[in-house]
Amino acid sequence: MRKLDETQKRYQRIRAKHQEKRRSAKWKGRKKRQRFIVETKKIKKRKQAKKKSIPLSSPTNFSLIQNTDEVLGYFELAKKHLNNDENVTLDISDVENLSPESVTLMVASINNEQFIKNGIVTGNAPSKSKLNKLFTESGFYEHVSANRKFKKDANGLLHKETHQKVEPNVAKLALLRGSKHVFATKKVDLGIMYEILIECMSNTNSHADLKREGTYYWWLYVYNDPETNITIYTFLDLGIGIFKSATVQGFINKTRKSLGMYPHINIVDDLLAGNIKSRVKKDGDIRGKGIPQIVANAKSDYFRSFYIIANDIKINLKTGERQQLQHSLNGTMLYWELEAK
Amino acid sequence: MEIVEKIVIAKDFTDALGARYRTDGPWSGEQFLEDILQNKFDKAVQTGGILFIDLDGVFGYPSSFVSGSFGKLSLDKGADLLLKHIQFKSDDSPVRLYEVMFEIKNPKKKEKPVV
Repeated sequence: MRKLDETQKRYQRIRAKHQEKRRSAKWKGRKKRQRFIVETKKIKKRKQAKKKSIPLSSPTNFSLIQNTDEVLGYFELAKKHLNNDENVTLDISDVENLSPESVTLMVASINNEQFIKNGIVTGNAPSKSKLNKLFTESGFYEHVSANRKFKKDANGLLHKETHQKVEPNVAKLALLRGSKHVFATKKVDLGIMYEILIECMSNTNSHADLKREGTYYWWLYVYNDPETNITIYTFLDLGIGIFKSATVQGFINKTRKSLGMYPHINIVDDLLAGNIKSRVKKDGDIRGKGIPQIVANAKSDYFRSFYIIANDIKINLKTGERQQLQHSLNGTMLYWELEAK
Repeated sequence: MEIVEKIVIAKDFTDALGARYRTDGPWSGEQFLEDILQNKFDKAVQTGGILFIDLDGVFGYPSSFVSGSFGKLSLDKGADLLLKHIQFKSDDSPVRLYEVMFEIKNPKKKEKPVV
């Protein structure tokens, strides 16, 4: 019989210990419970798939920027059904207007656990050829289960981030793609836009759920309009939204905010000026310059428009106009249009 | 004073700067401060010379990067010492130079009014 050396003996001891564990009642019980959970989930999924899907026709003006309340209301309705264990069909076949930020919100929502819960989402594409092209070439189908594959616009970008909070290379790529479309070979210093992109990414953690640090769910969509020299940028973070996460000063205000009785519109100016204290305690003295930098950079002539939509507030950073919305976005979205002046 | 140390950010670090902390992602202000800026600045101070920093060739200077590097160093060592021993070059954009200088002089943001 072959004599075992010390390494082999050690290996055999470990294996024996492991096999002994596998024979224990505790081990068997745990495995049984795990199998039960997996099976229950499978059964639930099969049952869910058999349920009829509720068709939800989207607003004909399916532009989040132009028709904010109606589009947010549409997604709220879909979420309500899905959270009620129902299936929905997002029917956008009859839309007369579709914009890149709505495509971003749709793809991000479908990939969001809080939105989907146990429901199943199906959908279709716009009938109008121009809008169909926008939708199918956006890269939407790369982020959902689909029977068909579509050619993606090589000059656009639809990025979903899950690992890194800040991705300088994605910001660089987004900047170059837009710059090429808008300015062609003209050399333009777009440092202000790079700074905006990094600050958008950097802010995702501080206004997302602090209990889930380490995972980042932000989306960036760069859409080069083929008919104009305009590039549309959408940055979307389905965290909890900058207004919901903002901390206010004073006991009365804090109590009112926790009860949902402190209107977010009251803190717009302080938030834009960087006067809202961050929930992150580290380096509190030198933080809070990101949003003011975005606000200052948004004034640049390179941007045709610049909006922030967060929770139930919409702000036009070019004009300073702000709007209290009837429906809410669970997160923060920044939208801007880059054009050559 | 004579130039004793030099940093060309685009060459010695990266042309695509990140945010504040290493945990945020690559090329952060914290990384720049700890791996490059701090050492070179200390050497310049010890020898009584100048640290020359070239800001050009970079895509942009996010405020969290500037605050996490120059702002943090200014808070630790004092703005006067930094301004005495650091010389900047920014031919691409005078605004960038102004922003970095402003951060060094005012690393803490203004008083927060009660909301």
